[in-house]
Amino acid sequence: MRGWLFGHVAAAMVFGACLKAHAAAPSRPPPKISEPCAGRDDCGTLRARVRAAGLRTALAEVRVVLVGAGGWTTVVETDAAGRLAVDLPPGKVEVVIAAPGFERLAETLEIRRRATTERQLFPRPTEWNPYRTVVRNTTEKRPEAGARSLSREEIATMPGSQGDPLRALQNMPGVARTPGGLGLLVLRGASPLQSGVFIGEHPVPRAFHALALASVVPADVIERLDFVPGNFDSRYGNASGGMVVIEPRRGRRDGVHGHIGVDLRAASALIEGPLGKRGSFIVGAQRGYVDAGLRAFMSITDSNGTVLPTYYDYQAMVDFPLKRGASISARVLGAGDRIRFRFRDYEKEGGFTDAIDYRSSFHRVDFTYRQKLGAWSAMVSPALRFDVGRQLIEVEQREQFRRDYVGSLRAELQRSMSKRFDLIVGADLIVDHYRARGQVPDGVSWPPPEESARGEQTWLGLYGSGRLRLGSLLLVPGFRASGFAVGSERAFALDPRLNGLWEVSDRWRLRFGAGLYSQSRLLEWGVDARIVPSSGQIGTNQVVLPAYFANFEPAFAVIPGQNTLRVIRALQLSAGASHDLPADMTIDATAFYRDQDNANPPLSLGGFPTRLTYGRTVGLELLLRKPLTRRLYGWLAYTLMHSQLLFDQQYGDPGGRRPGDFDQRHNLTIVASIKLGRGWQIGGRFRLVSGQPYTPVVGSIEYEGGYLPIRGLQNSARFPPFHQLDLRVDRRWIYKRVSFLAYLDVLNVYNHQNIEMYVYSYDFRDTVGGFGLPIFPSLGLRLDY
Amino acid sequence: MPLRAPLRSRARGGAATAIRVGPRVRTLAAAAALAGASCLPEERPYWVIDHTDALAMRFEVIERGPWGADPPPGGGPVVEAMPGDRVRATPFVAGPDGPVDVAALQPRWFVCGGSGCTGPQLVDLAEAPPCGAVELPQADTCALGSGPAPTFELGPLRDVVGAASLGVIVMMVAGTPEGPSTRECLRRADALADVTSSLRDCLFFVRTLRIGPTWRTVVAGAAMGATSPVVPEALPWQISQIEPDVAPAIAHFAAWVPAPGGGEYFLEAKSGATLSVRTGDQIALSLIEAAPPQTYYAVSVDQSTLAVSVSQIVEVRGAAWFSTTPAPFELTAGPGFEVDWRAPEEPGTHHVYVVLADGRSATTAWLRVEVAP
Repeated sequence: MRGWLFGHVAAAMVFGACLKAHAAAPSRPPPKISEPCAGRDDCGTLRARVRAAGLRTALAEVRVVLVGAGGWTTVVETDAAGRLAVDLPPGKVEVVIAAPGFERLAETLEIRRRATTERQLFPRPTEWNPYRTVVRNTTEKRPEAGARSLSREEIATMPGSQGDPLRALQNMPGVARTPGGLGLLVLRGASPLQSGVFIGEHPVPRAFHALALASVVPADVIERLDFVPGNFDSRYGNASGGMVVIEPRRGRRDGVHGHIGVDLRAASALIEGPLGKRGSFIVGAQRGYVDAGLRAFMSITDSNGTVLPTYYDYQAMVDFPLKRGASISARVLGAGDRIRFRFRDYEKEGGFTDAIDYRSSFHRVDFTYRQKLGAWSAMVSPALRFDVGRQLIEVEQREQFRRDYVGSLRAELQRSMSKRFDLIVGADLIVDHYRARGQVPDGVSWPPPEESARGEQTWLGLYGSGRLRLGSLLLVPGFRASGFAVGSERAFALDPRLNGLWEVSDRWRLRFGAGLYSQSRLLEWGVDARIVPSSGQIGTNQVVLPAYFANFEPAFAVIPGQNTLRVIRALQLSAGASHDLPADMTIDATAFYRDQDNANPPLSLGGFPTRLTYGRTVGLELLLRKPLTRRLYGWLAYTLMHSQLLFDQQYGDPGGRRPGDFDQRHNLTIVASIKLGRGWQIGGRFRLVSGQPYTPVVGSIEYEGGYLPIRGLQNSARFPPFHQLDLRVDRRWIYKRVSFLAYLDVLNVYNHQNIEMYVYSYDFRDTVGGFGLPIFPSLGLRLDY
Repeated sequence: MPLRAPLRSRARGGAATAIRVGPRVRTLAAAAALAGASCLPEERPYWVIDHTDALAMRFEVIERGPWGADPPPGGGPVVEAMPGDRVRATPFVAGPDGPVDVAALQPRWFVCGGSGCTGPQLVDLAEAPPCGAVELPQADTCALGSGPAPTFELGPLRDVVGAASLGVIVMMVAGTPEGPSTRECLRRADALADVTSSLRDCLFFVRTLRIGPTWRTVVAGAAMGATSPVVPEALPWQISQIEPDVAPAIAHFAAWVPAPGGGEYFLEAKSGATLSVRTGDQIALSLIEAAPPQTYYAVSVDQSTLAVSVSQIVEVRGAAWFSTTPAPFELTAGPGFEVDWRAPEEPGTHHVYVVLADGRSATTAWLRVEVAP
């Protein structure tokens, strides 16, 4: 796999270099005649190109002051390509560039008689900001209360995010801390399966690599990340929680650029550049290798076992503007994970056994065609995705496998009907042809130990929404009609939605939203889906896993039986206010409410599908934000949330209202970052979060020599509060054509053991330990060119 | 479809054997690592009796019914019962200060139906009706009352396979001297439906009375009209060789103890005797059995063809040792029959307990150890 991956990356890079060769070079401007050369015939020509150091970005319309040895001075301005050409008297000339955002550059040149002198001039930027795209602070414009966007620079430098886009999301209000280092996206208390993640126009099956080591798309290929924790608009469906939309960016056209990065977790590379006369491309990949270090650690120590996580992802994107306002984009992306739990095995040659071998991957290709047709804008985007998951627990003779061919299509029309009203109508269709197989040893699980299934699941959505501007009031009404099909079963839902933004004054904005959200779910009668069991032993100690572990990899479970299609219906309400404070600070407050029937986490403890009558979440989000400025940025995010589930009476469980698995009552995150100058930047993140609910073991039954736990009410206890400080220090060196970044990112700086799981003694009489992430430093290097 | 429930793995039965990393261990360790485990917590020694704990339950047929069998010549009490037999259950409860008087604990007893006593929630014990004759198998949980050693009668045989597989699941609920009373334990258990409260130091102790011998069960089932996939005529001839299980027995302890002037001396001690040693003495302890392991036959019925097969099995007995000190027992011979044990460095009175089990029944013995400087 490794050879395959790197072979393709190398091929993509070569391909990219070839594409660059086809990019047309800008024409050279004719030399201007400077005043000192007026009437002289011995002047030489200075041709120079002014580009930002490290970025090699052409600096257009920059004033360049030329001071001759004879005391003359002349000023010229660069063209759009950063070029200048001017005739100058022979002799020494001092070139001075003092552009805003750049250090003063002074360089002495020798102009020869009747000859051309060519130079590349590289003013050094005072701040490193390769992200030249305009970052829209969509909190200003989005009507959804609580919706926010993250710029690439925020993502790249945010402490605790390790430059990862979706990890950066975890600093936002409304986003639960994911316990145990699991790669889960929990928005406003909803199960991870109830929120959607879109890259471009189509969903992807997972946001994170399995152990949350990284997102499945790196920040470098992202134009914008829109985060809508609730009340998302009608464009998106089959989700009853929140929505994250990642908008891929276009490649740069001002030359071939890229980076190579390496740190303790992964290596990455990216190349981008122009494609033909108008197009651009990006090709990137990253590969995690935490397993390599852990393998080495295991071989040189007496460690009995360790988890070996491996991951990769890749992206290849081409954007090509066509004539008459049309454009086409093609994207190929994918991600894969492999987790092995390796044990030292003295009875085996080689000395190690993989007790668990888990693999999961997806690969997607999509095209997006956009066309302006008079007042209409049209978009059509087909995509094909291939998902595969396999879990092998060799020592338990347990194997689970699932493969999906997912075809999806989105088509959309937009039109400005008037100055006050825009209309969007569209349709999306997803057809998932799956094949699943499960095998478990007899007696371990029910239903029977071997089962396989194949079938088709279909989701169809028709949506329409409008943007109605009534003075300072923006209303976005919409509807979405959804059809769900599994085999011969059908279900339908109609979801009206409304969002509004009222810009009360220059400083005050009010937002509100109300809507229904539908999502299909299946009762799952598959084999035991959990990569980890809900309880068991380590040595003689007993471990009872909190319920949220069931969300780790739920996809294996889906072997639907008969009459299993259900539709979750959620009512979402939200209202918020934003106020601009002095010093560019903003404060947002959003209250939200979500009430849903047929609430269902993917699995429950004990292997039985849990029947829930409803889930209800109510809360308040606060965000005090200091946007990116020259030196300081930061925010304070606080979420107060109450998430509740109503359990039916079953299997000896008396039922009743309990806290949800992700009921984090208080969640405070403080993020700050300061640029110290000379390329130094330091940032920190502090989090203080209520302990995660769990089901305690209150006693045990000694049954024939073994111990069976007696549990208290589900989620009736909480782990101790979580608090953690993360720090990140960056130092960047900028050279003419490249820049070099070194960083140290330290998670859990003061090594506080936050309990994520209890370990009980063999008889459940005492807790003998708890697990949590220890201090985790990551040292990284990155070269941008 | 085994007619006889398989031997269950016994955490305590293997107490004297080395811990091996098994599949379940590995899987959970992976889970721990997912949660960020950097190192695993210490394991609490399971042989240490530092709180009141039930170690064994002994069943005896005290009145033979019409289908009951005589014990084999020289055998001890029959622990495998038939419909119509009257059975007594006697627990052995150990404490840091020696065996605990079970009568003082006022335990309550239940026969568990289905998974009623062992499901994820422990509920409805307060509403359990009194047991009459215990059906085979018992569908619903019923109460046997209170007392140190309840007796109960086995009732009609409804399902041969179910009865042979499940047996009669008996649970003792008891408080402890250092913890809540039996009444309080039951109150908290019943309240779990509404409120989470601790059941620490409450004893919920379950053992299964085996129904058999198998051939008698099949014959009795046919006579009583019980559900059975096997008719008596289909039984192979070997089946009639099966006699009822009898309890294993411990004759006495044997010990090699360091002598004051050097060397060692040998002694034999009955259960309950006092052994005088000095601090730090290394003692070799042996368990002398009073009855050899039995040979019996296991019967299996193929679920699709209903073909009956018989396999001969020799009982495997194992001993598990416990003490009131954290000093471990080091296995030296046999499945726990001979161990080395080091007396603690501090003077005092300690206790050593042993459970001898054969997979179908168990017996106990104990020593009082006086440790002098």
